[in-house]
Amino acid sequence: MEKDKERMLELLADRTLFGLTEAEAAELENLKKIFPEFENDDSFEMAAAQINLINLEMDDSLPPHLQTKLAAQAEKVFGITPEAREFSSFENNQAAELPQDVFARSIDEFAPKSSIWNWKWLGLAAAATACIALAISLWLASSQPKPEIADEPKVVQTPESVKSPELAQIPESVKTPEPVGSPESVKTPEVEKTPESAQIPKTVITPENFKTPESAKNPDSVKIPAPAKTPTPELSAVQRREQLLASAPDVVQTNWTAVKGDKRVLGDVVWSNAQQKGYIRLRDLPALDASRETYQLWIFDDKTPVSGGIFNVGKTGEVIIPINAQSKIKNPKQFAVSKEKAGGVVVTKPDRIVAVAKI
Amino acid sequence: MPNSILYRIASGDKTAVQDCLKTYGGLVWALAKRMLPNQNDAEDAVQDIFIDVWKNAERFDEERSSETTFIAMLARRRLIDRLRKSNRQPNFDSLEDVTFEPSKRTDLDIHISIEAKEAAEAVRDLRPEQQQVLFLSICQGLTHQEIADLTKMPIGTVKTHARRGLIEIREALLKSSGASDEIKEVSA
Repeated sequence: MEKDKERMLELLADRTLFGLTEAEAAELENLKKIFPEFENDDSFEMAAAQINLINLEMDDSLPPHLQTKLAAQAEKVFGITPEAREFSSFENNQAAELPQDVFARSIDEFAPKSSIWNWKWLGLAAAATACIALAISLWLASSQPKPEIADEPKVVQTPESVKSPELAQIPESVKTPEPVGSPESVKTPEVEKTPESAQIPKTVITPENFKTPESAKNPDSVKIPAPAKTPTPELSAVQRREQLLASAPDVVQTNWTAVKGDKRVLGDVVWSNAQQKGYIRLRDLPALDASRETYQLWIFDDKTPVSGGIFNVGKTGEVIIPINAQSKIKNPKQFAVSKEKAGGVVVTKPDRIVAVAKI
Repeated sequence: MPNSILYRIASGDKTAVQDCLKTYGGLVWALAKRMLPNQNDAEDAVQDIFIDVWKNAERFDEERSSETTFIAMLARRRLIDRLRKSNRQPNFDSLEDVTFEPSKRTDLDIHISIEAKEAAEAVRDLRPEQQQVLFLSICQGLTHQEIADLTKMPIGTVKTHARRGLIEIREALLKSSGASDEIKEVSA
């Protein structure tokens, strides 16, 4: 039995490496009847694929003309409409280098004309509806007492964060103002003054200025502020972090380490996997020019990095940021902060990581 | 994982196709160029590979591999097919180029970097001749006869080194992901 299994493993290895003769293939089929758990085994091919990644030189991205061909292939396989392509997150990569007429040509070749016109009319109708809605909103806003949040959207930021040029530069178009009464809108400087905050200036980054790349790109994230509600006492980010630490039995806390030895990053990560909730606290992270760069948080679910949102920091001070994982985290192994171009990225690279916190 | 690109493709999210090209285009292109020095062949192969990836997206199982490994596996299958149909010559200057030394480059995609590091650690435990044979077979796509000619090893030795090496690496990778045959058998 053991010999049979050994022989089967050899044949599976040979098949992956060199291919099998007909006689060997028949022998493998017979052995699979004894070991049915190997019927659909592709672990040898997976191992070979992983070995194939060692030393891989990734100097070039896909050539533009090849991207165009692949886009055309995708249209054939999936019947992708131009609109689907427009909404795809291609702006950060090579496809942005494609001449517009190339893209337009391939669209015309492969998308049904009637479909294009239907979508165009639909798009125009949607735009017109949006304009009318906006006009009505503006008229209503100017003719009625303004809700506090609509009048002064930056009220959601703490005094410290308003002073921060980086945060002030975040385009208003990507902010999603919360209704008055949200946790951030009722924050007061007194609430933030924990023992740590008394010693160092603090910027609490709220969900409004802590954006995911997707929400930053999505025009739908621009919402008309809801009518004002009676403010209800809510906890600050500092208090919510403390509450998570105190209440979640599975909560883990780990410290940040700078990736480059000559720089110092202080702070920690608090995470509860059961609640899928957590906060990062950072100090001494250099401020960035928010019009060009941003920090991005990553949660490594086993080996897979999942974006946890983008953020910027003030020139001095400490930030506390709620973690906004883009998908359910099953097995968090480590957290990382990378420095990216403004708007964030879908995939980062090791040399952009500035700090890590291992669990 | 709902955010997995392949999961999204399998569930009909058309925008995921572009994300797939964006995320894995460089990887597939690099694999194709390494195995197929002819630019036209490499370009044709990349198209075939991505069509394979899109059509096989529903087969992706995150419990068994990462997206990177799954796509690299489909890519390798296609590239080997093409390679064996052509009469190409090995595309390195000497056996001194045959090495599994981990790259010092830091601009690799982080997914690939992690996968490659894991594999490199497993390879490091192999004997040098096993490493050499595996590199020639997996990364260059050479047949056992070609490897025997190049290394002057008997063909039987080439086969033994390659298969034993791959069996060991597979077991090491399965163990690191908590899914070795031994574990399966114990839990069964």
